[in-house]
Amino acid sequence: MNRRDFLKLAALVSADAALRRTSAFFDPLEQGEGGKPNILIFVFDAMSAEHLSLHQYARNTTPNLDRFAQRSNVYHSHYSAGNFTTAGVASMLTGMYPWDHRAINYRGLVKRGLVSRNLFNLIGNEYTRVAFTQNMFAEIILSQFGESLDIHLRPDSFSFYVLPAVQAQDFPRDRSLAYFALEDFLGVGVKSLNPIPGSLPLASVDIVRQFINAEPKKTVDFPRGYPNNHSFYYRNEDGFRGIAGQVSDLNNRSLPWIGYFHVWSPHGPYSSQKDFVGLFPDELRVPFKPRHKLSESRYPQRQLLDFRLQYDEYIANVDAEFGKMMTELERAGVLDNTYIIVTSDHGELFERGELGHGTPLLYNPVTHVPLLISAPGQKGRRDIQISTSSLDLLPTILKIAGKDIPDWVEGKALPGFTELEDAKRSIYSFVAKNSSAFQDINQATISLIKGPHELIFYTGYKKLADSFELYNLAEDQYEKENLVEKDLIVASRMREEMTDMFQSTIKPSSNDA
Amino acid sequence: MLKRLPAKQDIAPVFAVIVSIIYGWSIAAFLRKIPSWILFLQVDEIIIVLVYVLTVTFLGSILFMIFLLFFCILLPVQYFKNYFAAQGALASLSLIGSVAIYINRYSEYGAGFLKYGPIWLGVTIMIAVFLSYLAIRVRFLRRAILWVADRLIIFLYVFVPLSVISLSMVILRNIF
Repeated sequence: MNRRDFLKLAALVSADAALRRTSAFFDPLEQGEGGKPNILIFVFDAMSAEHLSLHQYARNTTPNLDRFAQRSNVYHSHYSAGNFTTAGVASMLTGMYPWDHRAINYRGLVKRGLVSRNLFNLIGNEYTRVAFTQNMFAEIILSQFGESLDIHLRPDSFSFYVLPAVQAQDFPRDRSLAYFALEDFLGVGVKSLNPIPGSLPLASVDIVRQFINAEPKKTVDFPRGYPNNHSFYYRNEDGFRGIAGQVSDLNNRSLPWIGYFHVWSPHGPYSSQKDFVGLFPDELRVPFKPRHKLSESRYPQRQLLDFRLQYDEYIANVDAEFGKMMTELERAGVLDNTYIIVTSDHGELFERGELGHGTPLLYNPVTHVPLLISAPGQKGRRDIQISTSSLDLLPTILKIAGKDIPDWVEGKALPGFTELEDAKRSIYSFVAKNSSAFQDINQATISLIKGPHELIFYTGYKKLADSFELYNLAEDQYEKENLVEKDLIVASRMREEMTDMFQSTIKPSSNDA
Repeated sequence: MLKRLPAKQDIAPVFAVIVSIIYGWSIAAFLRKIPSWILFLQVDEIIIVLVYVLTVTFLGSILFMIFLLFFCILLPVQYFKNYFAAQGALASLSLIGSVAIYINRYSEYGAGFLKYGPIWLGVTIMIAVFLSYLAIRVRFLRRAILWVADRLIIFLYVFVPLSVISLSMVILRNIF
């Protein structure tokens, strides 16, 4: 072999290697030892992309996610279809917008006739299908999909103190309706949803249990109290370690598996461990935004800044646990044959008088969520700026699993998994928690992201006449300047699209359930 | 031991008082809940929820009845068995009524109200014992409570069969 032949051969080998690396995303079935790759969907509850250093947030909240991003596709403009768990999770797992699956109310359910249209059913029983969530709103949706699940872990699996004496999980064949009877009504439950328990005997049992074994209080390790979802208390380290253990066990099975693991953190209360309290001594400069007419709270700016700080610290806490979990998964060899998807169901808002996500507002902090996807053995990072939706996860996962994508799916395979990337695509988020799931939508907020622009439409509110807001997110990251009267061309075009969509598709209730 | 149990016709009015208060509370709360459920639950689903509610309420009522019968067995006959219908009805009224007020307060003030639990329980037991004593001594009170309890028996004819059906449905739904 002469020098020229050697160079030709070297060039061919390099090109082949490069092509193989590229194809890792386009031909995922090549990955993994047994053919089909495993899929791990890891969902943080209420994690706003706007608060992650991964997305250039001023505070260094996510060093571990940043490290994970070095071997992932990072979607910088990923939006949840809803601004609270029910709508967000249902859209993620059905690939449909909330106005179609109709899980639009607090603890709402997917339209009964559409329940089979879920990720676990579509991926089929050639996968072991596992689901776990600490969020009860997500839990009742997972319970609806129960027939398509092989393993459905209890929400309190990794907790150390459980408040209700009887839980829906004690009725494994009837979890969602048992939830409404027992936890949403009869026992001592979440006060905002069930102010007065419906059963004197059961509530008495709950209260006596609480008296004998008092709810965990603040400790030195948890100066703001233990993390809890109002029904049970847990330590993040137990939860993440427990999930790592479950995933490692799954990885030892012969069948490929898909796991949906949805942790409550960093949802409030923001119960950081002591090491993370005071982590960010800096005073973050956040522009003041006046209270919105539809804001349901009246928090002053100072208090919102305090809560923002606690939230950021808690994200850093949860990120550290995520880092430990990834190290364990790597050690167990899970990353060699598993797609890892990290995302959130919705964000969190600390502005305009509003705190959290129980709001009719759809500003970026509450809809913009993280999305990272790491392919088996992926070494490099790819940053994707095109706007994407939580609906896109389902078709992407089906593609990874080598399944056909049904035509009713409203999401599209994510960039990196398809060559058809549409930068001008319309991405919607939607909230109509006070509308009926069975009738026309009579009160809603809808946001439309298209390129750099965001149009928000409010309709049916008593406090506010039907109106629009327009922002240019590329130039106005904080959504301060409403351009609806200034950028008339864009405003008119997007309003027309929104109005058409609302009148023809969103508002009417279809009868196919 | 069975000899120490009161007669069926004495148990029925006491059970009627228990059922009336416990079911009354649950049904009133259920009706308050319907407007929020109706937004996203179908009518058949709300009925299934009601089935669970009736089952839990029924089991709760029976447990409370057993609790009273246990005392009837435990105490000398002249203290509780001889006037079981009147004494049991008054004790149920005061005990369950007090629990209802406590739960109402607890719902308003949260876990902070737990600290009043022992005092509340002590006072409630004293009131129940005192009323039971009065039922032996004051004929008018005894007759009045029996008059009320007898009229409440009608609810047993409605709630007990419905609850038995509900219990069967819950068992069936969780087996098949």
